[in-house]
Amino acid sequence: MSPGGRYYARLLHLLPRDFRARRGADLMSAFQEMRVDLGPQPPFLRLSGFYFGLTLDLLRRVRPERARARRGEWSGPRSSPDPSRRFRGRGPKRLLDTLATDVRLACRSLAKRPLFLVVATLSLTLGIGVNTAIFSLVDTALLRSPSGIGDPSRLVELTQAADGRGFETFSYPDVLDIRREVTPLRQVSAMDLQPLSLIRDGEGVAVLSFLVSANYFQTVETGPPLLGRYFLPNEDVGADQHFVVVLSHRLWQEQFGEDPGIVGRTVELNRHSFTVVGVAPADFKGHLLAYEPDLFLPLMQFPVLNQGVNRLESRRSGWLLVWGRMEEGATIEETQAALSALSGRLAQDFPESHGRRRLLANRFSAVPAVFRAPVAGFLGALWALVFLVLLITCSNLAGVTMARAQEREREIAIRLSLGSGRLALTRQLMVEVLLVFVLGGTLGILAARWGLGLIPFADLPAPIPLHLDLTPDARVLSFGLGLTLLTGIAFGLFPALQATRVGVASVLKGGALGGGRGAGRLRRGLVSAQIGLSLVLVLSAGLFLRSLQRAGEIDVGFDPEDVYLARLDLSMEGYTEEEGRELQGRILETLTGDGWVESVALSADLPMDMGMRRTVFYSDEWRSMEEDGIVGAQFDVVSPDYFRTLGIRLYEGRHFRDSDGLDAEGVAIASETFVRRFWPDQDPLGKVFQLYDAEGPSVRVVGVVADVKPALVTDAATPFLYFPMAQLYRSAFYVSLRATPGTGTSSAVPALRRRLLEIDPKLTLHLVSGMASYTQAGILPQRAAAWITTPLAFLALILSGVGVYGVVAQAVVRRRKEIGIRMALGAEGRSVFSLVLTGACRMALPGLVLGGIGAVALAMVLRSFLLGLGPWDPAAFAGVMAAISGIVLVATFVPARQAIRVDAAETLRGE
Amino acid sequence: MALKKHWFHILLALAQGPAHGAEVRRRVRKNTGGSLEVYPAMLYGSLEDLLERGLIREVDEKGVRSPGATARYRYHDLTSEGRAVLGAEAEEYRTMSDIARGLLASGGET
Repeated sequence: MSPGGRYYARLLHLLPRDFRARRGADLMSAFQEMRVDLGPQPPFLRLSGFYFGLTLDLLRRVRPERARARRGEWSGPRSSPDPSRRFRGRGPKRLLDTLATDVRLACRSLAKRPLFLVVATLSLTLGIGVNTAIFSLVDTALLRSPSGIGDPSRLVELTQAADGRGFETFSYPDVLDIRREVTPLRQVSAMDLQPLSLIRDGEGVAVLSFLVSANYFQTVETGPPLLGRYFLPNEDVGADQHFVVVLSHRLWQEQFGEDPGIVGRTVELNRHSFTVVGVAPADFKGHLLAYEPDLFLPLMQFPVLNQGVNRLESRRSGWLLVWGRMEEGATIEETQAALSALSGRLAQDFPESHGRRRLLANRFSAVPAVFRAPVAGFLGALWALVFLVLLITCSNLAGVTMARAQEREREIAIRLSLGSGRLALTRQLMVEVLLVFVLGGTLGILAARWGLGLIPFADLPAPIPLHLDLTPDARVLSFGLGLTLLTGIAFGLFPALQATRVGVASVLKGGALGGGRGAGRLRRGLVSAQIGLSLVLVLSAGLFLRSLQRAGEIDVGFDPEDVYLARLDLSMEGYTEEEGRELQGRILETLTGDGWVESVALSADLPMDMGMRRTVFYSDEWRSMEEDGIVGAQFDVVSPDYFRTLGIRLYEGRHFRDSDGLDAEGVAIASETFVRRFWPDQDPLGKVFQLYDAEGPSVRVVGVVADVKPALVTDAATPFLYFPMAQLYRSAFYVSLRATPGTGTSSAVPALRRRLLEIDPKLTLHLVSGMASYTQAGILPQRAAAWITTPLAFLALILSGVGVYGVVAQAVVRRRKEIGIRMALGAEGRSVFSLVLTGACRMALPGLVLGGIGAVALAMVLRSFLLGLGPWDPAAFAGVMAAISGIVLVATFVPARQAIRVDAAETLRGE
Repeated sequence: MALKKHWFHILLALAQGPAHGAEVRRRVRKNTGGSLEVYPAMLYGSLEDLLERGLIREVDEKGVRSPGATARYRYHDLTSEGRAVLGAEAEEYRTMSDIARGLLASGGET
């Protein structure tokens, strides 16, 4: 058939079927004839006029012909008593009509049950909402590749492993070797993150810089620069020569008002002048998740920005993150092979530093390889939990739908016996369920979007501000919609199919609501499953809550309450060591004089700030433990009042004093665990050891303090040493002060900021906050999990209760006759009660057993997040069991009371 | 009664003898000198309308009445009622055209 003919034939489908049957062929041949009359190659205008006329003609007949079709059905013998039958036609138009009718019917039916509608929609909103939200996190963290990056599948992230431990940093000479010897990599780029101070109008602004090798932009393959250029190859050679900077689009916007003439201008960074050579494109926000760079500098500027400390030449100091872009056609296996070869050579050439190291190639992702497993594990576990909620919600809805269908059993049976199509009935039942799902799903996706927007990532107390773009992309939206439709169809179809499988004869024959035995079993199974799933969910929520409670009880070794802190980096301000020491003294002096301050201290690091330094120490005594007498430990450099300010207990010896200066003897204070590990059963006071190795400076132990948690409350205490800041100058440090109790964050934080700026208005304060909120970051995963799971667990409990109630109540109605007979024969209320209760328990038991097993399995997976709680935490388990049993009992009690009240005489009279 | 223009022309075409749809269309075109094109849906819809009103009936090729014919072409013929309606309508047209002609001849004065 010609295209025109096909078009006309399709157009005909707008007309009613009867008319088409009678006149369709005539219409087609009339069309053919008219088309032939027009000639083989009519002018375009005439041809379009012809089709226009044809279409108009047909459309004008649609209404009259439909009206005729309806008239015909009314009077004719082919009419059906079932309205759904009228629509058993084919063609898209019919289907739409049918659907519109089904939707209208469903809306009417739902409007009659507003409580069901609200509860079902709300629980679905929540269920689909949290699923979409968690998926959005998964998508951002693990699936999506950062924007503005060329072909991420050709990018590899390089890491190292030694003694089963993975680490991610390389020394600069290593990078040069990799660039030279690993040929499958076309580009090898190195990077260091560095917070800097940008001076704008005399004030310091804290910015995050990426110190990158010159080929960085070629490695990640960003688009061309918005303005100017990227780095040139010669900017990769010669430290301290190329004072150039590429700005991010965001910084250019926020700090320079999108100045089109920015290229060539100078900006001041850490008191050094840099020339802007380019602006990165708007869609490029760095290649790391959550770390969004403000500007890019050549790696060669590291010594300038760090007081001449030149790490570029050392083979031992690993500090660079390394990425590579593979040649076209090269595979990750080839890259790995080349890296392994290089590992072998490095191990030979530098046995003491590289002897046990292996270089590894990892597929690129925005989450660095070493963090990928924990991030995936945590998100995966959360996802499993929120998926359970959705399952509970859905099975509950399915149960309610089945109950409704059972109520309508007789109606359905009548309609089936009168010749209604099972398909049509099933479809009507399903449309109702699907409607609720679509409503709940849409609201859920919107809620997810809104909820994700509320997470204050930028305010998280992280050392570097985090930027996480969680705007749902097409993948998240299709996930939400797909989830809605899939669950809707799955949980709407089965009950609808079950409902229409009624034994027509038995239902119509009389009183006994006999049909749907299978449906009853299925529904009890669903409720049992709900109980099991709720158990899993409630137990996880319980475990998370218990671990939070425990986190409060765990002795972190210090008291963050009433402690406030600020972070300074004097190297950025251009202070020399001498000026820096002077400023540090002034800070201590100024703040100590304030009435609201109990004590002030300086320290290079703070407990639980995720940035504790680690180094090695030497003592002859330790040769019994380590062959070379060198042991590793974390350390901090602190001012005399540090322990008092943070509330760290001194067990033995003394605090540091002002007299522990540069020309005095080197001193140290050791932690409890350090002493236990390295001087077991000995008096640590007076012990002498060396920093770094046998040639290092000697220090004497003058005190022993309590352990503090280094990063997370889950961490075990590690060996720890403290040194006086007077003997080991640090240009980057925290100012921490203990305020008089009751000062409050809202007055302490601004006061601290003001006082520091009074000392030097040009200081860049990288962080000012209360320490309590800062250390909260250490239990962030637990808190997030508890926040998410607790409301969900409540929801699950309520939904399961509703499910149990529904099934028991219906069972009581169904067994009314049996109960009546029993009562008539003299059964007591109590025995009837126990009859109902036994039924409920029998239903709940499999769910409880399987759910318990599932809960323990999940708790084992989550073990590392549970702060040392085992899956068998008795308090959590007892609480959960009590909660679930309570819900089942309450949900059974109400219908059981109704059962006892059954009037035997009345029930039997009905026979 | 005022007959729809299409119906009038279809009835007129059938007054020339029984015909199937395509023939009706051809006759209408010829009768109106090509100024009226009856498109298919209108044609067959109108035939159904006229059948429903009893103005025409289905016949076989030889003009014998055959309702619900399954032949390749369905032939239609005027019923006596149809013939009467057409006659009345033609008379109406004649009267109207006489009046109009009279009015035009008298220059619009009554």
